[in-house]
Amino acid sequence: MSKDKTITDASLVERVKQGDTQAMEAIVERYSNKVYNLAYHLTRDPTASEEIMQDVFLTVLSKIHTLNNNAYFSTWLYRVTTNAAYAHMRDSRKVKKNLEDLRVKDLEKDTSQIYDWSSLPEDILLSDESKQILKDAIDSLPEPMRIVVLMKDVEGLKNEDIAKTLGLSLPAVKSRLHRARLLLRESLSNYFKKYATARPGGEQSEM
Amino acid sequence: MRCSQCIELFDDYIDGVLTRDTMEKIQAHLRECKHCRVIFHTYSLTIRLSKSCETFNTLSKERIKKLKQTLTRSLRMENKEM
Ligand SMILES: [Zn+2]
Repeated sequence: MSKDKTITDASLVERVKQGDTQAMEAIVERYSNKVYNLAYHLTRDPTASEEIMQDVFLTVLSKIHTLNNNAYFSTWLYRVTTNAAYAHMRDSRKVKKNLEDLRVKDLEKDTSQIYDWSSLPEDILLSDESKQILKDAIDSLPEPMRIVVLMKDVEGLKNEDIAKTLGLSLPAVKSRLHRARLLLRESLSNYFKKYATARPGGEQSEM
Repeated sequence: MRCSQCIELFDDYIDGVLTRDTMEKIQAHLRECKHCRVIFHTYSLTIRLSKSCETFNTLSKERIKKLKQTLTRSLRMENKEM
């Protein structure tokens, strides 16, 4: 079995196109956890994510001949994954209804919090507790924002791919992302403000 | 530049897709406006912390083996059809 990281996706894909099962196994080694995790982040459902993962690889395998540029394999794979996860969510969570509801109350109020918690030490910033606060905050975002911030900031997909996958314009993706980040920042500010007085080293507000 | 305009552009500023002129206006605003500077720092850090939320589940060896078997079957079948 080939575990060599130096083999490019493109050459593996080319071999799969010719029916090479070893190359296919190498692709599974390389991407199955990534596909699973992306599906899991989007659906929060471990069982569904395993099914999605299997469906995604079967879909990709059956359509691999339609991929013109082998180098775009991973982008394509993630797009198939998000589409499948998204379809699952649409069925199970009635996402579509929520998609219309993008209004967020009092975004302006958000900007009134001016404690600079970015100067806190890493062990506080990256504590299990603060990660949990952030995860809960992501989960409680309005669905359209949650999906975008998960794809972009958590999973690291490109704006263009997110737009294509969700059928949105690029500006719509960016605007959702920006609003989501401001809301998450607000949640984190609420959590970290308990350190505001305890740590006078942080940048204090003059306003 | 007003504070609200500055904050609206954080995303593009971080992505580095703005014109040089706009970049400089934001930098100038951030230098003189502590309010926006704090929001900028914490906004950037929020993005960084989100990345750390990537709870990486690892599939069992058994599960991956099963997947490979399914795919191998499917690939062999397809090759026969061709
Ligand atoms: Zn300002």
